[in-house]
Amino acid sequence: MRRRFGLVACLAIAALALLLSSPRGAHADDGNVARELLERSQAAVYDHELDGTVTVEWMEGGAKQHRTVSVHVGDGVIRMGDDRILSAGTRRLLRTGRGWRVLWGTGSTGSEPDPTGKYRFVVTRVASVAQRPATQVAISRSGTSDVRERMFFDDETGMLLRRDQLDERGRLVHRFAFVTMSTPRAVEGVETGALPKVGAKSGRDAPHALKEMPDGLQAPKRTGNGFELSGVYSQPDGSVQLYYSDGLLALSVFEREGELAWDSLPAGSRTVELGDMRAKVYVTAAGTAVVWGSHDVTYTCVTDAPLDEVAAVATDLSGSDDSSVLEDVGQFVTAPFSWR
Amino acid sequence: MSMIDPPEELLSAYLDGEATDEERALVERRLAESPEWRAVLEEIQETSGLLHALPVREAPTGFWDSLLQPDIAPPVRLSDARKRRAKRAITWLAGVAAAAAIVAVVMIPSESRVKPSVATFVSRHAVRSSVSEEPISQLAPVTKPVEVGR
Repeated sequence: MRRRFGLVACLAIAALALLLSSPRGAHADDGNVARELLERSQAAVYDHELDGTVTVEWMEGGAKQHRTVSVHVGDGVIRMGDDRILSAGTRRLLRTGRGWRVLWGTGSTGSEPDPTGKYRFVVTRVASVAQRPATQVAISRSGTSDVRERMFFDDETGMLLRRDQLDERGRLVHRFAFVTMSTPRAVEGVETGALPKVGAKSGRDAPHALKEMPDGLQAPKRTGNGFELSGVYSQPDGSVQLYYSDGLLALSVFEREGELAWDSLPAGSRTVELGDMRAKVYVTAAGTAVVWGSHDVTYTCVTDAPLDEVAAVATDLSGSDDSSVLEDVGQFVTAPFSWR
Repeated sequence: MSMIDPPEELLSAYLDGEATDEERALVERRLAESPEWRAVLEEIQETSGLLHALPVREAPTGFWDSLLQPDIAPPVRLSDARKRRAKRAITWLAGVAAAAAIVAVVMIPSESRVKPSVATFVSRHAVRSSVSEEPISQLAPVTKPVEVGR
């Protein structure tokens, strides 16, 4: 695994050097460079030691929200939020009042599609982010010029330093960013340090990969606009999580057989129409959740993708042939929830 | 009452709106001061959410009658003692069956009303995303309990 990422890192550095040595700021084949930067960023952090602070900003309830989170990386383990969450390899642990709980323990993740077909990438060097030289990747849907994401990668380490998500009018709706970072120290061939022990029950309660779908539920291999199924997981409450990716963005659809109890949903949602269906939309720090019911199945879709992507998935899964609402949903949700 | 270990009964009462004004003030003060209290509260909330997500199904018409009907006794003539033993056994079996039925009705998810735990799903999506995407940006939003419906 580490060798693979080492190779990817070398390729990314070489490609970046070629790109940046050009007098032009962007190349027609920026997609390949961007893809390598994205891949490299997934593992780069584990190969360094550093302390830092990140901030998450988003719009919720008509107001800008933010939270600041401490980050410490060492021994191949990421410790976040005053050691509340640990991340190492594919393990994710949560510290609770009664010890450590497994949030994720399965190594089973499927392949993900190449994003360069769906998206157009423009790579440019920028002065600095978090006082570190960085490279910006601006991302738009192929065939359009509207930038919907900007990602900034550390030139030295390959780490993701900042990610801005924009709405269809170019307004910022979500941001992740390092605000402080100690000088990262590269560590060669780091072995993952020991993780805290967890109880057997905690391990059993963690999601695990499913090979077959329960009766009455479906898991299409492709859905919406280019999202491909990457994994299917059981949840402790009996729901099934379908995890999709288009190579850049991801979405989870939680399915459960049974009629949606509308009156039990949390307050604070917005009601939208998905074709001939009603849906509730919640905006959170970690993305948007859309809840709806169709044909005696209750769906909850969670994603950082724009709402028009969710609507396409909803119409796919529900067998609706009316996608005219997609635009309504996107505008309804994002219009009052952005800032400059 | 220990002020170090968060008392789960008190926190449950607080969540259910059954705490007194004095207890509520105490809990809110401790929640503001103690990450441990907040963690336990979150855990109780999540557990409570999972339990509430289990739909309740009514027993079908005639279900209880069929359980308790005496015509399931064997159709052979028995001595009085054996009859009494058989009756006790039937009563005991009916009791066990009734208890099992209650457990089944309460605990086994049915196809009726579903109450999705939105906040839990948001966290689980972020955790899964952190495995195949850049981990810090995915996990940072869920280092504190996700709130929905503010």
